[in-house]
Amino acid sequence: MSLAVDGDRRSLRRSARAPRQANPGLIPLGVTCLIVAALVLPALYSVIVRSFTSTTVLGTPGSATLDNYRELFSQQGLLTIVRNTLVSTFGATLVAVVIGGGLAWVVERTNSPGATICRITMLLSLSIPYILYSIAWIMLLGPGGPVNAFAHKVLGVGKLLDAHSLGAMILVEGLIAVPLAFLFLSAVLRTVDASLEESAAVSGAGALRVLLRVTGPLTLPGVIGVGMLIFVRTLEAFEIPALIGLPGNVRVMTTTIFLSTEGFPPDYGTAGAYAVLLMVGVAGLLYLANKINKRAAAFASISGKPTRARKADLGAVKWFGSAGIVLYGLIALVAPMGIILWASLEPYYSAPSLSQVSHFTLQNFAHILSLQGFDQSVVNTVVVGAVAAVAIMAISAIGIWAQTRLKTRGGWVFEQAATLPLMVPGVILGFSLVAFYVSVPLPIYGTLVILMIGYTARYLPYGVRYASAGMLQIHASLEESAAVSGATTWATFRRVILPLSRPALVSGAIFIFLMASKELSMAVLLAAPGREVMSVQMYHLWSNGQTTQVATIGVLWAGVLLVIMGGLIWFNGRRGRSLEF
Amino acid sequence: MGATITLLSLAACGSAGSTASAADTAKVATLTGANRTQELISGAKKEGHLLWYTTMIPDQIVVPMVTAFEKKYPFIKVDYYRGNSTDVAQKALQEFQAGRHNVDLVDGTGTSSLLAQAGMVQPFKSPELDSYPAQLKASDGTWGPELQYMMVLAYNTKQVTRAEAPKTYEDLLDPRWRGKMAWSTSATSGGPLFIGNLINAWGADKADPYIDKLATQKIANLDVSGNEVIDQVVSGQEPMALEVFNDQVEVAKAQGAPIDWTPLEPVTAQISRISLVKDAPDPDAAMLLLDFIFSEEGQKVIQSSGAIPARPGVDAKVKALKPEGGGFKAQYMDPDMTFKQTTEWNDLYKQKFVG
Repeated sequence: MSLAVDGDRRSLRRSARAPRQANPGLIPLGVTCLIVAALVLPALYSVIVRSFTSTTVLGTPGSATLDNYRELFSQQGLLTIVRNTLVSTFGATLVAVVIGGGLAWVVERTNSPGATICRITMLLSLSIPYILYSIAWIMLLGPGGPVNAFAHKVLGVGKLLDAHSLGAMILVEGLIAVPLAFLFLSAVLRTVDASLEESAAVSGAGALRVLLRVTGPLTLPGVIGVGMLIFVRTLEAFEIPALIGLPGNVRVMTTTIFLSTEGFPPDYGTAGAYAVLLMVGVAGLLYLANKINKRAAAFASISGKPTRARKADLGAVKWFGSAGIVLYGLIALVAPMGIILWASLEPYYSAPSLSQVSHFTLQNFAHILSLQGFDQSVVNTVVVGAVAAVAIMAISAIGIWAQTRLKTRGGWVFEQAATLPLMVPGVILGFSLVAFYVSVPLPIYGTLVILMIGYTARYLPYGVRYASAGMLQIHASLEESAAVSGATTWATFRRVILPLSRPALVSGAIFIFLMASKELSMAVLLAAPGREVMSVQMYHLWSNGQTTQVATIGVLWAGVLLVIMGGLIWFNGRRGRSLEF
Repeated sequence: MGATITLLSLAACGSAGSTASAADTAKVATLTGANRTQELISGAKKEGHLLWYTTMIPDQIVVPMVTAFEKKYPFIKVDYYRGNSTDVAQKALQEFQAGRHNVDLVDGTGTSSLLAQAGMVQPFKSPELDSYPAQLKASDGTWGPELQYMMVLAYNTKQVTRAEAPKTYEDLLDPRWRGKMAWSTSATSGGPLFIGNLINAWGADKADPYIDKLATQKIANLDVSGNEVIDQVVSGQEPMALEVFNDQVEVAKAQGAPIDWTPLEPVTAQISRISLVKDAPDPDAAMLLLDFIFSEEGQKVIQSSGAIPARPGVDAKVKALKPEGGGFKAQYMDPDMTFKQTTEWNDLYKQKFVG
């Protein structure tokens, strides 16, 4: 005991003698920036160079050219394409932010029952691969599918929504992004100073008024940031436009561009040019968002008196919140997973009907479980996802700490660099990584390491968001107290900042694990014989036209996740905590 | 954690293995004489394994083939990586250009042409190929045939009857089929290949006006593989599909799915071709697998998988799948020419049907 006191005193003396370093964040910032650069720059360099290079008949880089950019702007019907792109992207972002944000508020800020169910719903929908989700919605909305059959029989209308329409695209892209919005906005809401809302409530403001006048403005920077993230993600993604839009001739920017990357030999030039333009555009937007976020300093809210986030008592209205949770769960998870379960039990897919029930079989499950290398691919998925999740959160925590807490000069470089991978489509990132690491004489290419590098680079932007949401709102007074008590910069990080932001960091890790486990476009290119991940197995089955077997993997994976989540809840429950993500 | 370390260390030494010098590979590939097989076997025993990049469906074809081969030559372990033509060709090419010589065999419909153009194919001689006609093998030994694909029209039997189903290319222009057809956007099956087949068969003068008329029929472009297009016909999402694999239709039919097919003549015939990679590290084992695939024994494995054997005299399991069994006319295009024109057809396809 006396020893510890002595130690403390010594460090106190030392810091009293030597004033704090002028720039304590320089080393952590430098180190994390170097790591991020090593992860991101090879791919980025390759994308930029590729966008200015022609493609030879072999699919290898040719000579310098501007044709890739020219091709972007010379697509037939460019005006319609741009309009479709804007409408679907804005529409999907709006759907995601309104539903995700609304539910986040219900769960975090009201006493509506069903919070845990809502969180589990979100996590499960987050982990559904895009291919599977698109297939499910095509089945739901397709001819003979239950949605339009219901519309026809019960409502008497011909068709509620065409499976291959702009509306369907907005719906599916929006729904797929809801968990993103929900999780990020929950994190934001959880850190808003409850005392401000309490003051408002005490002054007689109703729940709605508190939401609009206090909670809303406080969370606005967060909402804008999340909206932008989803906007870019939707602009960059091509699976859903290709599967849902293209057959109905609803074309967006990515559709034809990515048809070239599937050509033989593939042409990555135009896709690269699109990625470069996206990066330039988003860099501008990020700059604006940073300006807005600077203002957030005024709202710093985890203060010396930690207040448990206040839950508004909605009275009987609270059941509306619960109804919203249930309705969302039905539409976004139960219906698509229901039809996937249905498909997994059928020898070949056909729309749900009583007569098909007699065809039910477990042959798909038997087949998948006996598939060569399936169990190994599950192990690979878990290992790679977990390594990437931990690596990302460590890098993000240290980098964001140096940037936002230590206010290191040039800290924005970290966040900007770490956000860049968001704009590089997975297939391009995968291709670039292969092109780079195939000639690096280290055991990276052809091993699981290249997948870990790929996932870490690809999901770094999300980790950074989680870390900054967790750290941005820790009040400076806590660090100041630590410093005054003689703690070194590192000790402050370890003993003050890290524990306070731990929930956000853990949520981030879980989030990244789920996102990474379903990643496909990159994994297909990075996989080597025997080192495949589950999503690649799913992809192969899918391209073999074995939809019912793809559905079966989906059901099995959902089962695995349910078990993991059940374990988490049980574990948390024993420690007297509820599940928060 | 222990598991992680094991995995990583396993992964790290994955690329180690037998190595043969470039001269060895060429010598082994062109071996002849009575003792050829014996020499290959003694070489393969030293190599112990081989690596194969394949585009064929693992559980349907690759696994049965590998199992039968490993049973015959228990001292050879076959590793394979599965991807589509693009994945497989890119992977092999990038590795070769970076000086990594891991892979021995690569297959696909267009892959051989691309690899030959990149100068990374080792010509080989297999006595088994003597039984094949000229259109099913390369005169210069750069590839041999694994199996064939016949691209046909498929329809959902609940939505279209056999009598109604189009029998000729002209029938597709009937207004009743507008908005009722779909095909894959894939450059190596689906729309682009359909166009290429007609240009080849009819010449541009007849094909171009037809393609213009077909473009008004609102064919749904599905950005999925040819096999997945079949699944969408089965589920009733699309009543009819063009340029899909007839053997895969039969697989679905055998499960009781409401689907059938009809050949539009001339049917596009494709050959899945396999090539030996230059400087392949395991040439003896690779040559044994090539012999095996081309042999009657190997082609019987193809037969029982339901796919269409390449070898004359080995019928398809469902005889009608093969032109000689089904009594339809198929057009075998020169694969190297097909490869050269793929980009052209793809551009024309995008311009007429996607744009």
